Amino acid sequence: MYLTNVEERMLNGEYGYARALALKVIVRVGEALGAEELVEVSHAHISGISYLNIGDAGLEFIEDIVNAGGTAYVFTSANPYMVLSDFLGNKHDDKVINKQLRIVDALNRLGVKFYTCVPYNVRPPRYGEHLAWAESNAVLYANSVLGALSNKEGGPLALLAAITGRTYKSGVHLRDNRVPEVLFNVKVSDGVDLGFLGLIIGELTGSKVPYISNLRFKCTYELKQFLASLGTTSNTPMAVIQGVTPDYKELIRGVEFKDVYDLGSESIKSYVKEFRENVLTGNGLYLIGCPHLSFNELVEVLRYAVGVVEKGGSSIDVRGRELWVTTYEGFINDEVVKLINKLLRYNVKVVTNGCAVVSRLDSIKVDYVVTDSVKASSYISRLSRIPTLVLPRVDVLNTYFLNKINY
Amino acid sequence: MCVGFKPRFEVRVRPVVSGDAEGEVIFVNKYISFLGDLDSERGILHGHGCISGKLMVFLGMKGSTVGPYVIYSLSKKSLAPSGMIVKEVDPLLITGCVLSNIPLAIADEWSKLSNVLQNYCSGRRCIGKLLCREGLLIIE
Repeated sequence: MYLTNVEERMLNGEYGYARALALKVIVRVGEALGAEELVEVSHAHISGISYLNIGDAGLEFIEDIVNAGGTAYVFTSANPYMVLSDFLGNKHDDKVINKQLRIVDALNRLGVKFYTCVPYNVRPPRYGEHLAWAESNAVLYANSVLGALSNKEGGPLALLAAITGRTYKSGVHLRDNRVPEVLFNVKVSDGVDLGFLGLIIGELTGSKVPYISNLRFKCTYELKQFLASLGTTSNTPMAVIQGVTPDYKELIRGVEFKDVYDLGSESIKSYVKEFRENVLTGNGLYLIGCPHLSFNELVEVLRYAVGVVEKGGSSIDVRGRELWVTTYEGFINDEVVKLINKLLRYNVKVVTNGCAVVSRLDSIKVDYVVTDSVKASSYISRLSRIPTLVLPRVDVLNTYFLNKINY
Repeated sequence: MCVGFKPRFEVRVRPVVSGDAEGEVIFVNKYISFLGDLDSERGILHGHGCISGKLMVFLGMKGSTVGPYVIYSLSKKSLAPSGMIVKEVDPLLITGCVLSNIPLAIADEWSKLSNVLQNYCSGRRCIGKLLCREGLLIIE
């Protein structure tokens, strides 16, 4: 593999042991995948930091590499970790919480600035910028919406990229691999949950880059949900979307698609049914914020919730339920505080830096989950083995406060 | 004087993480999940016994992205295999091996290798030598 002068010196240990080790891994992986050179990245985003996922082995590695002098060489963010607060008084074991805090402490020392699954909100990359991101929804957003370039970095590779500011140049860092191979003609009516559509397209496209034509997104929220779902069932780091991907016209020029799918509202209905058939009993977690909410979304959700409780008055009874709104730190201004205060007595929590998906909700006695996120539903039902229900965001809130469980 | 016949097989390999390794061969004709299939506290691969200090020959790694951390953790406890030979590499396996200084090679002649291991090594102790510089795996 061709290495620049700086990279040679880094590999030889002139930038410290941790950077040398990290670069050695990246070079070996790159060579095995046929990469001819490395690429400088401006932003690394680390995933796999929940103690419940990576366990003692992961904790040990992260602490070791930071103790060996591993510090961020470029702007670095990380995924959110397990939610540390209680659910209706039930908490994770103190030992587990302490180990999670040790991981966060090590990552803070490494130089992680934010803990969120929407790094494109905390530092939006420019068109053409190279990244080393590891969170599937974020990688899809960066490539498909912003025209930045990132593979889905596996396991510890994004962490190693953070320490070196480099990753191997292959996959969608190369223009040829950004050209779509599968065509999806989409004709869906208004009001269809695009989260379900993402799931279907992800399954059909597999690891190939899809081209999605004729699909209109009303707002960023729909786009986020769509891409998050797509990343749940597919390995592709990118989708070329008509009217959304900045260079979509160039990317599809001259492409003759062999695989073509026509998808309409009917294709989605059977999926929706599957996600709405669960019987929900016991204590319920209502979840909004997968992927994490932006500031505007947070305020919108809180305002709506306050509107519902002010209208509902004393008739509102949230016993056996809790609402988590998940986002990242940095949004707490006076208006948000006022809104949160009005909702405290209704078991509403604004959870920062946390992720319900990686929280093993069964351990804190959550019996079921109601959410607007197809991605969250899909993972939680598998990881925490509890029933989930997906509803539009407004209906999650209405159901939560007004106790209308049947949709 | 009669000298006992000692078979010796050579298979060409492509080094990915260089280094030489020697040890009793453990042959697992499937993809292994280092998170689910392995007791990382004791270095035991379920259904196959101890892997510590042995030369592991298997199809490749599958499943969880925690795999590299498990390999690293095994190595810190001196429970890791001495080397790995696989049919297919993936980024996570390479990561684990580089971090833990475990030689890793790809056996392009996989069917030849698996034939030798299935026929000659089944039910007996085979010793393998992985010589990355020479691109060779020697089975005795």
